[in-house]
Amino acid sequence: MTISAVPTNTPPALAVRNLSKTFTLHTQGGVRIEAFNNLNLEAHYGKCLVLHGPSGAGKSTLLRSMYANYKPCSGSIVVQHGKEVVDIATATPREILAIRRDTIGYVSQFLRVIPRVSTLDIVAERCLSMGEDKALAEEKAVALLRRLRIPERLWRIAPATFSGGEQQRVNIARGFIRSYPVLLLDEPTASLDATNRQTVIELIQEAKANGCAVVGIFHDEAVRHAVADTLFQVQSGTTNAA
Amino acid sequence: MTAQTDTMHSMENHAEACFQYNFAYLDEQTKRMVRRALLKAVAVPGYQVPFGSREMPMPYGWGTGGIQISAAIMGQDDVLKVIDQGSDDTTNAVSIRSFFRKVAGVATTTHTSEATIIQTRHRIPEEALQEGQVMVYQVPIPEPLRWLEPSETETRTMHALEEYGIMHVKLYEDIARHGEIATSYDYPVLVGGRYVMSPSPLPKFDNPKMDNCPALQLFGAGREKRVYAIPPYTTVKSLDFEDHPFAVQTWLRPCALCGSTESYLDEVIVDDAGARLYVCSDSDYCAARQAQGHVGDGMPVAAPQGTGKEA
Amino acid sequence: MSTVSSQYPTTMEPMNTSTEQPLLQVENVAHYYGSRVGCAKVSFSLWPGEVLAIVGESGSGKSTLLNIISGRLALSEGSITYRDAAGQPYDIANLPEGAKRRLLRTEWGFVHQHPRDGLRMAVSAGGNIGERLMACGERHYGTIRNAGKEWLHRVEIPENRLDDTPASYSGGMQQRLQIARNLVSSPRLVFMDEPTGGLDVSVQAKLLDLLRHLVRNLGLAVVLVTHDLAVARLLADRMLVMHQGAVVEAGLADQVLDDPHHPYTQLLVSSILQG
Repeated sequence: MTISAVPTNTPPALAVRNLSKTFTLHTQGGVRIEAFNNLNLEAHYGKCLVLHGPSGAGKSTLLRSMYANYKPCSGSIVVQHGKEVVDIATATPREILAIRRDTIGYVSQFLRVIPRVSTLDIVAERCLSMGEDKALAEEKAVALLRRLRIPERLWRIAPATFSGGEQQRVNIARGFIRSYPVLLLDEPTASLDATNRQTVIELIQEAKANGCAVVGIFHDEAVRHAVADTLFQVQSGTTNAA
Repeated sequence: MTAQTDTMHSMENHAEACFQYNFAYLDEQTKRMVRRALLKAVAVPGYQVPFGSREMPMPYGWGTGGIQISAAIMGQDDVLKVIDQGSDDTTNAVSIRSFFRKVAGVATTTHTSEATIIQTRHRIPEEALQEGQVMVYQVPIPEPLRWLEPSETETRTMHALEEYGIMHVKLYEDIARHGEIATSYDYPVLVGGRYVMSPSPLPKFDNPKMDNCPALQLFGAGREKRVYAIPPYTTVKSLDFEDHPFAVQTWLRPCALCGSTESYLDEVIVDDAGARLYVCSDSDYCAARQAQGHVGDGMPVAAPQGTGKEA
Repeated sequence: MSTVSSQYPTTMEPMNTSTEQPLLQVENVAHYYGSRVGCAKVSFSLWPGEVLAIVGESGSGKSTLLNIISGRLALSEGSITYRDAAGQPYDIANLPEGAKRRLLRTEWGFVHQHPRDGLRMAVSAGGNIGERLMACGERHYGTIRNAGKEWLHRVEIPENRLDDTPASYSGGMQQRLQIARNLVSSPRLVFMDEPTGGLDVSVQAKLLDLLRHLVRNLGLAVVLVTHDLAVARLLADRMLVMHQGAVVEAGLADQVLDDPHHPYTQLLVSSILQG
């Protein structure tokens, strides 16, 4: 494992330049909280970049910014989207929707879905929204659910009543059902047992082998060791030259 | 059911009329107003023209719209026939004939071919109408879209924009509920390919008679204050579906009195056991056929399970 | 059933990003109730297949905005352009009544909060669904009836309820019937005013799922007015937050909800009860 970015000739899948983010909380007297300031990093195809740092350092905020879930105050997040290079920080909602559909996948910490929709449908959804055949999409969903050890009796049930670990595995299956050029992972292994953690490591390694640029937050050191190619230190309010 | 011809009228009768009333009851200004509305109605076939309906010496629902039209178009040489449900001798028909004899002194008749103006409620005579004749229909509810749309503003807009989808919704509902288009009277028609029109409570049997008819057809609704018209030789199409085409009523048996198989039959219950006789609703037509020697079997039918009608 | 699907395409190609032009372009629109502002200075574009939520509290102007962009309320200022399937632009503010109503029964749909406002309560479900087809000139009873059956199936209502009137339906079924009635003519743009507003929470979830499936499978563009931020999050791609007649924040739905910038949006988001 190296601490600094590997110099490379190929253009990055995703590059963050001079990125800053400050929250202003109007409901609490206009308090300003700086998440990070002037960040620079690159994610490359086939590699895994791990965001590392203490809790509250802004790792999640950075990851969410890359998915355009958060809006940075200044700087750019440039991503290779098909044949184009797009700055996520300034892209139109329409461009971002296209990027999320075709280029960037995201596995969040929590499963957030329509109540009463079955697990199988939730996992298959991203394939279906691409217009994929329903049978084929379900086949893929079944394979992933099986691999992540979700018991078959749960497939037709909505995941609202599942345990934390089960919900997270459904969320992972949902994120990995399609291969995106860039995949963002926010603590995907947080509440998993060792066996399932191993499966997630394999899934990440397979994604990398497929050429996917993975950016992730992993608190579990073993997972970090297993998947990371580059470690990026995030420290609140500091400038990082990775 | 004898055919009577009361074309006779005395000079005294006429003089009395002139003394007591303006010719044909309505004043000249009112008649002019009605005629202007009728001219517009003829110019725009099927379109409902508002007019200033007057109080008539009879209740609404007794043909006040039809009477105002008859009064407005009537001249001294006209010959008037009035039918109610096809018959010349029901109360309504007799009263209206006698009304016009009194207030206009015009000749009246029961023979379709002799009449120049035929005011009707619920039927078109079986005998084919001719050029020069005028049919005057008494209409209770002139708006065919009223069934599904209570707002007058909206129905007028729908007519203006030719939005007639809901007329077919009505027919759809009929088929969905009864397996066929069960609407058997006041069956909606499209006039001149443009306006959907209510033909008044006419049995749908008579709808084809309105199509390409040589006579002028005028419709009056007194309470609703609307007149509309079908000029001679205008296309009148009954609305339908491709797979449920428009069809008129037919009967299993001919008229019990004249043996006609082509006329609209009324059902008359003849005894307490419910036995019934099927006879022509058009009394003039039936009498004329009998005079020509046509005879029906005269036999009542035992109380049936159904109505004896077949669509 | 094959006749139905051939005449009324029930599925469309998935959203194509290369579609050059927006379906709906709203520029600087305003509506004044006398001297009071209903809504003002609103601009946005909507592309085929996009779901846009307009959120805000009662009286914020969201329903006024929905009514002006759907041509049901006159514009005081600004312009609205709709492009039909053939790319033909329509100036909605100056469109003759007839053309506007034709759009509303062919390329557009309008789902009311209360099914009673959008259904003919005395007409059977089949008649309700078939009305648009008949209004567009369909004259084959069998075809209309098959379309009715197919749409009942798609909105998960048993086929044997086809000849029942909506008065005999539950609230959730009525709302699903209203959706079917709107979608039967394969509209490209559907306006929805609090479609889940009057329903029990359990029924809401099912309707949300159904709406999302239909939106995805039919490539519908939707303008959705709701005060329920959770509904907006689950259905919408993009969001406008309205406050006192003005749009105070706009953007991706999840971005607006997870990283709200405007004080009012922050207040709105922080006021959600955590279930």
